[in-house]
Amino acid sequence: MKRFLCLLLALFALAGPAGAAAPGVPSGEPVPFSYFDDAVFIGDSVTRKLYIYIRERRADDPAFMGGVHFLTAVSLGSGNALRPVTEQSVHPLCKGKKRPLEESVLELGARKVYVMLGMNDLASYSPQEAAQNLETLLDRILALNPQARIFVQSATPRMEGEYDGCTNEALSAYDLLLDDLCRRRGFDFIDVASALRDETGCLPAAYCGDPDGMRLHFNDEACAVWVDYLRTHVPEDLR
Amino acid sequence: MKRFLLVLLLPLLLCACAARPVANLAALYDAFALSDMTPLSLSDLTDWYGIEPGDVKQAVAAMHATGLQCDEIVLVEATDSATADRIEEALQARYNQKLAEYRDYLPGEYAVLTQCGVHRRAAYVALVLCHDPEPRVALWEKAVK
Repeated sequence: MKRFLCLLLALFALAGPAGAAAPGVPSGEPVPFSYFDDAVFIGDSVTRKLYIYIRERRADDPAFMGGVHFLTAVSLGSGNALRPVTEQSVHPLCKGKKRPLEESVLELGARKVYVMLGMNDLASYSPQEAAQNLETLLDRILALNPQARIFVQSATPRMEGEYDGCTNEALSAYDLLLDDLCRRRGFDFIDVASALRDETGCLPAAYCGDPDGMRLHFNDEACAVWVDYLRTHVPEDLR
Repeated sequence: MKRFLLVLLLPLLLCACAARPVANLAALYDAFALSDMTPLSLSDLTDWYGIEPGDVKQAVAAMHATGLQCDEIVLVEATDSATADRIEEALQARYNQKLAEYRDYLPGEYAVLTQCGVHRRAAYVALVLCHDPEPRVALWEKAVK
């Protein structure tokens, strides 16, 4: 039954609300890596793996993903990112200092801000609360970085299994809310999750880096799909 | 004549003894023998720790390839003592942040981190975060003493 629900939600997420266009920025030719020179990726342990993957690929191709920056902490979420910076807060370090994310974006001078958060939030917040927290966080980023363009990435699925809080059903519901948020606010929705779901709406085992652990982190194959998706899903006016 | 030569050579010998041997940090990192680590570049050192290329005579850094395990190594020889002070402060900030991000997330990795830390001797600064850190720290201390 859960599998069926998961599939239904995933299909609904892919199709979008009745009468609406398919979610997210449409596919096109891959952009060169230099497109990411002024980009920063904000995320949790899933995005940390992308950071590592890019470093590994640079051993053979130093230009891989250009000069992209990352702001990641393994337990980062919109909820804890909104809290004040303290010794105990999880805000990532930027240039040797722990700062609020909006200040780190400013410090890096990023003009494209790619965000993927939610997996850690859904353990403590409902999809609605998590999406609201993300919107508040993005408003803070924009207030300090009015030149920034916001790209909201969908939260990616977990392998099939029994979970508390951060279930695939909750993730799909959250992604729908992110799509709606982007439509309302004029942000670009990058539906990475759509490229990383199997026919049941779950993360395929072939893409999972921790099938015996949390069952949500990526391996190199999944990161390759992610990078390809990012390069091919770029708004027309930025090509 | 012998006495004269001895007087002449003595200061040179004393200087040679006092000069700190240069540790090879790349070789030291290899001796740590950590598996599944991904090397970081000099620009990564700037993004994470605020360490600029001009701050270091040599540096080696790496993170665990999963992005999930807590292992992270930064070995630096700073250009001078004041720069080493600043780098030590930045690596301590990173260590504290790392404790915070793992505390409620992966308790097992957090427990590993509590046994680790930042080390400093003269212009050498090290962040050694890994399972079984003691033998690695001992190697570092031996190399930079």
